[in-house]
Amino acid sequence: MSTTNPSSSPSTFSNPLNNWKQQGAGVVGPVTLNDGTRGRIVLIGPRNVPGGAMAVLQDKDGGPVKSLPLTAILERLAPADVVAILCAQERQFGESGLPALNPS
Amino acid sequence: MNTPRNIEYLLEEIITLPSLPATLARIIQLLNDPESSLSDVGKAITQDPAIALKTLRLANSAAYGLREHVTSVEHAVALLGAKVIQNLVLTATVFDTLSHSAGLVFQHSIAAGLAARAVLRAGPIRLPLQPDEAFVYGLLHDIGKIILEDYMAEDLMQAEEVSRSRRIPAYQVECEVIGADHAEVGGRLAMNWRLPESIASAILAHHDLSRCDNDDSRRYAALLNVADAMCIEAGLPSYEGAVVGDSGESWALLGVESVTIPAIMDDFFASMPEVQELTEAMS
Repeated sequence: MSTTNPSSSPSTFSNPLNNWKQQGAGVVGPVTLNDGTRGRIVLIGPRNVPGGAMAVLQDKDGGPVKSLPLTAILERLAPADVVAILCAQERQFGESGLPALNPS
Repeated sequence: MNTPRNIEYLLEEIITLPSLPATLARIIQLLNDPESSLSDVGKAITQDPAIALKTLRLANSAAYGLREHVTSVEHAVALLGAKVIQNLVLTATVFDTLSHSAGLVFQHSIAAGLAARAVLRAGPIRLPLQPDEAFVYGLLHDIGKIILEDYMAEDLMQAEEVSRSRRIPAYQVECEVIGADHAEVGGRLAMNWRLPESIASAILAHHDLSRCDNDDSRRYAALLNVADAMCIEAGLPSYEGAVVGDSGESWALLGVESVTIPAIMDDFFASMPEVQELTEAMS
């Protein structure tokens, strides 16, 4: 076990998925897939509702906008981003008693 | 000239780490002695009524899933086995020693234990741990924060405020404000208490995996890192508004892929009632 200087830690990081915004009855946050594709995650219902979490994506080369369920893009997301999305969905719509999300 | 603050300075001038509780020392000694029996272990636990009571409460909690209610420590030892009992006693003793000022850190620690357990349950991951062992790792990961709350509460609060305003993780600000972070303090406590090396190094490195000098140790720290991140993302007590660190390297080290995360999170969300139950069991 080494005891390196903690101030040298490389991880200064603020997850962009913390930037959830209320839009109507849903909650929207920006997302970037592993291949660089950018888009938005739209949360509109709890985990057990099909389509409760959707990804709205546009290919890097500017193709048509696609709307896909979260489950269809899991492999293209980083694990930490999936955690962030599922926690936001549970906090906004779930029944496990987590603190409310309070989107901006 | 001002003396630079670092972990050595803090431990010499400001913080007195609590000594290893006698009951825990005795239990560890017995469990490492091939000539001692589980009955000896049970008797040693029973000699400390506070620890015996907490051990029984924990053993009967949903976290350990016993089908029958146990009313004696000897019975719990027989049903759960030496390793689980060692973890139960370790948990009960640590929180009995430190919980006078633990506050919300206590609830966060329980939630992190449940998060670590959920990761192990979804397996397979690259760690030779059982889910209930992972639970104990998570429970202990922030013992350094409890110590800092005891000795440097105002500095710790200032670090948390700066963390929120600058949007950087609190442990990084602790290094600036206090001179060391809670992981370093917790790691030192675990080493002083001669807790297993894998636990001590995981506590030390749970925010900075580079503090471990091999991949095996890094994976234990990675488990605590992702458990911590899960709790912060879930907005659990005392961490509302906290800034989550990058857990990407940790997930990769554990070998957990994105498609496994929904199962992990389902398990974690379903375990929320246990946070309250375990908080009461250990209070």
